[in-house]
Amino acid sequence: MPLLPEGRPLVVARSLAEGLVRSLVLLVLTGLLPGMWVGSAVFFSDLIGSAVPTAWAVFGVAVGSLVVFTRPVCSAVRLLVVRWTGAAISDAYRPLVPVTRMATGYWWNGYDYQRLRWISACQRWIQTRVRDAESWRDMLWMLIAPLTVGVAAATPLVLIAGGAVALATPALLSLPGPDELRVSAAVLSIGLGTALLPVGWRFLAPVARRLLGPSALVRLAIRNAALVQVRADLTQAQDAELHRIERNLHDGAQARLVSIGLSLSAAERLLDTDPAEARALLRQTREASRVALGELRELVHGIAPPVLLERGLVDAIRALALDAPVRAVVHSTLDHRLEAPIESALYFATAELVTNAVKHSQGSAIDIAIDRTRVGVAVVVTDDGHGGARPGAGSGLAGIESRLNAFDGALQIDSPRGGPTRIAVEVPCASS
Amino acid sequence: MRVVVAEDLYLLRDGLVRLLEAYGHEVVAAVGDGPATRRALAEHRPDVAIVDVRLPPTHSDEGLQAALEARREQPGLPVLVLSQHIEQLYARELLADGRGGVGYLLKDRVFDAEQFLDAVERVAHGGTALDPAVVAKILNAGSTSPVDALTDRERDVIALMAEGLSNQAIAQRLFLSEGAISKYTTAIFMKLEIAADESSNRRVLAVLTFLGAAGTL
Repeated sequence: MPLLPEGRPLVVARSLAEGLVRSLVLLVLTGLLPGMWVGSAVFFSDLIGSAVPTAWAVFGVAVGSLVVFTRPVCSAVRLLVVRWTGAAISDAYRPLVPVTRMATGYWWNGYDYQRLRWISACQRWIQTRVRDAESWRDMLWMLIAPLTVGVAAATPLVLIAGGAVALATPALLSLPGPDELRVSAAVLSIGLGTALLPVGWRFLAPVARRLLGPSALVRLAIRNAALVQVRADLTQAQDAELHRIERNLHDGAQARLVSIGLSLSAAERLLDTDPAEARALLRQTREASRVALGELRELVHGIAPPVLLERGLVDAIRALALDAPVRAVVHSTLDHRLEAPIESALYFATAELVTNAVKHSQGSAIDIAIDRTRVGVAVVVTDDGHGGARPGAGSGLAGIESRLNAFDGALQIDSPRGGPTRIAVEVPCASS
Repeated sequence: MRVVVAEDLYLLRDGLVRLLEAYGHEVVAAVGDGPATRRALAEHRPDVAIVDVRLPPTHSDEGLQAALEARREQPGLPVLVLSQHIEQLYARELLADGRGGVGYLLKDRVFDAEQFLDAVERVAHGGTALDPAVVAKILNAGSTSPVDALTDRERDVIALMAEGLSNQAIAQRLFLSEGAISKYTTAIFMKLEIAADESSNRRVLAVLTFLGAAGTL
């Protein structure tokens, strides 16, 4: 916000103009159908005269207008909310099935078969507006919005217009009482309306979010699909991990133990005939057992780092930082252990981020912060490298993200070209 | 020497006791969990304690904590810590008090009985015995420290010094004369600004600086 001498009034004027335009747009969008219904009521009562047929005609117009206008108006409202507030409201309409000709010669539109293509298309048009659960919620919006969003948007406009009219044509209203009172009431009304102008339209976002966003059921369905995906990923990852461990043991420690056993039996045979050779063989065997132990140690470290088990997340990341080939500093305000799976997930994500920073960023220092957040725990890894990190491009960021998914975790990448890179991993967990 | 052994795996504990006794040391207590280790260290005040990092009942770093605690109560109590894995973090914590008498070795090192007992004795006499694996990690790590000012040769010397070798042993390892090594050590003490002070162990302080532990813990 510019704070120049003329900046402040400019900002105020802009927000007033913005409020005026937005209030007018909302007034039109929400007032369209009620206006139509009132108009049709007046029109038909003039035309027909008697009450019952008029009511039927108005009812017909109401239903027809709902079917025709609901979807475009609601789509427009969703767009406006995104443009005005930046908060996206996703629709959850059933996907549109293209009208296709089946082998029987009939046309399928996702709901029914029809002999003629245009009938099928018309049916699809009506069905999507009548049968889709989200369409019903949209219609609810069309009924509720005029009373909430519409009224809120109209209030400042009505106050200003009323005040202006009262000032311009005092005779028209011919209210009792002294002129001064009327004038001051009108000025007050204009002032109040102007003050409300930047606020009135803001009722749009909360109401729209509640009625035009996906319903609880649809949200559950989306969540369910995500969980199914996570479960599939997990099963696959677990399987791959088991295979990796099996292969590692099979080709590593197991093979070495076999060769150690062989050497020992050879040494046993040589003990009487060639003690010197036997001793040399035993020394080799000892070396082999050391190598086997080293391999096992590395494997264990890859499965579950011992420090993580012994000390928890913060010290494990400290140990990681100490071993990093560039300078790495760890800050933490976390003062207690987390659940083991969460510690493990955060540790391996951090380890991978540090490896990335060392391998790709060409920076000289890494900063790691571990802190409690509003929803859980976050680890933020910052390096002073050249930036430009993004998922894909062999960075392994996508892999980290998919593993975090199992914990409802999130990966946030901020890496402008030229650096610095700041990547945050956050996993929700209950504070204890 | 009077030794306390704390190790939860029976086979290894038994092996250690037998090894120590074979070399003429007296094992005053051989225990298998954290609380027993604390009691044994407080009660026997051994010449040297050999402690496994991970002990029951929690199977966390209970042995290490018991050793650190005992050293707080009996400053300078010689402790040789054994572990299946080596962490710079633990090495720093052990050395942080700057008193020496500290060893930190991988369990594999027990395989070589002579070298292992050599390390035990060095620790008992107030020296250090850091596993070559820790030393290698420190040399690979990127933390900037006064050690950066050392020449390659001096780094070789300080690395072996951290493992706990005497000047004579370092000379043998590097195929140099003992006189040359003592020149290098003097240069190292100068560069790391470690004053000639009778009360402190200069070699331990040099190793501490090498670990970069002085300021960070």
